Amino acid sequence: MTTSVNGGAPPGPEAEPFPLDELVRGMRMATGGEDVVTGATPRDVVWTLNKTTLYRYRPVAERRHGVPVLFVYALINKPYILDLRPGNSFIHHLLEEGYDVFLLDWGTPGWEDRETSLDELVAEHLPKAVARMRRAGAGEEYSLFGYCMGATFAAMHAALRPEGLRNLVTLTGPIDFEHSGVYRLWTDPAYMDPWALARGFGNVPADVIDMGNKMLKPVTNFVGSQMVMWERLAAGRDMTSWLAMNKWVNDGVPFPGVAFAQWIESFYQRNELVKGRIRIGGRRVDLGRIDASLLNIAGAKDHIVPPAMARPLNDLVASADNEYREIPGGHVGLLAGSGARRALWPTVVDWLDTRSD
Amino acid sequence: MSASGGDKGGEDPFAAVRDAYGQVVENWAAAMERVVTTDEFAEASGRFLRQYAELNEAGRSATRATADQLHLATKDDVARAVQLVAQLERKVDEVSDDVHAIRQSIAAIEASLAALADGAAPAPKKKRPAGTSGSGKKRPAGASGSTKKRASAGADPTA
Repeated sequence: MTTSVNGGAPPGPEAEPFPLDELVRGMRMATGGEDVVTGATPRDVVWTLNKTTLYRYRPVAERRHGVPVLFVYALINKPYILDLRPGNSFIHHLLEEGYDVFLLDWGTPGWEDRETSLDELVAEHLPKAVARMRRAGAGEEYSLFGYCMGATFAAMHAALRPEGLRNLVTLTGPIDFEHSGVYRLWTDPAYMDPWALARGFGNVPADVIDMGNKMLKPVTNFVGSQMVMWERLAAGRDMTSWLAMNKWVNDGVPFPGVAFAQWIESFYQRNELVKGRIRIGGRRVDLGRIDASLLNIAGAKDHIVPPAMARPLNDLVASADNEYREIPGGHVGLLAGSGARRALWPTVVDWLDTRSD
Repeated sequence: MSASGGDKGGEDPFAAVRDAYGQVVENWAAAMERVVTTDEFAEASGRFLRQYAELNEAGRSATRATADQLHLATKDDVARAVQLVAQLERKVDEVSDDVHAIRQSIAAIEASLAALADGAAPAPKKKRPAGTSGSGKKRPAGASGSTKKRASAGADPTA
């Protein structure tokens, strides 16, 4: 054997160039048969409503900031990307920096949730989560951190209920859907009837959503990731990071049918958010009502939410303290890639540090 | 893609694959990305999705009809039961919110009363003639102006 993943026998003259156990392991990993610990930071359930759960992470260091951080994630994939694995967890990093951290997890919708709407999630569950956070003794003011679609939800919540919101951080948040690139074409009303899909599927399957995302860069996503795996394996490198990311990428959740139809029709097809025409919970969402400090971050190489799609938020809000940053990286790599610890994490922490006491 | 297997002894088993991959992947990726950005692809994928959804619906209808024939609960029946549980949970949540609001009110009243009892009431009230209410009208004998009651709730356990 030339090498083993765990640093076994060194290469020798009798070494096999292609050890069978690595081949078997590679096959197992390629088919999702090898698991890795993800989302391991200890946390407690603060509140639940239907599938929505509010978590509070246990402190790992002395709390140094009075303003807690509430994370809001998207309706696709699972939020453990924020706490990917030990050694690569943005949430754990914030805990180490002395923050009180909460996470709102929308959960995995079942057949009974196919009529769950964005109104219910944004105008009811999100404000309730904020109330429960306060009830749990987190204080009146808070920072809201939205990632991807969660950033759009966070911005809408900030516009509908600005009271108590000290800081708003939006990471790769889709705002101006005029700039949604290929998605704009695929969701064109001439080609897609989202309500027909919602009726047909009930909940739009995770595989359909996943396929849509992967087809943006089909070769990279279907071939490239497998090549990276085999390469790393052949080089005897640690596979934990690849396994964790691969697990998350393929661990999607269905999109509640009605919420999906609203999302495609009102946002992608009609671009109503920037036009101030979106109504959530019976109220018009006017992003101009946002006056919290704003840090809006886009990934320079993000092809899912290109910078042009995220950037306009800064021009729409009323916040006097209003910053836009473009950081090298893609949609996910920005947060959980190898460069995140040097780029995104300190950017967010430095910004929050001066606004959280 | 960069070669990273050089640190390993012996022959690199992936060298040939990697070389071939490196040579074609960029062109291949660019070609695929051109394909997926065409109207034709958008139309085809939209049609495929619609048909897939219709197939799903048809399958569901057939399953439902079969289950009905066999007097079995369908997915919809189970979903309805779960929705009832979710509605109940929502009501409990609302009651919990109400109870919390009541507890907060009680706590606020308690705090005011405690402040009064400590003589820390900041606004001295105008002396009224004995036996009159604020409006100057005489109160019936034995009636007390105090509404003080023994507060039952302590500190909010959820806080």
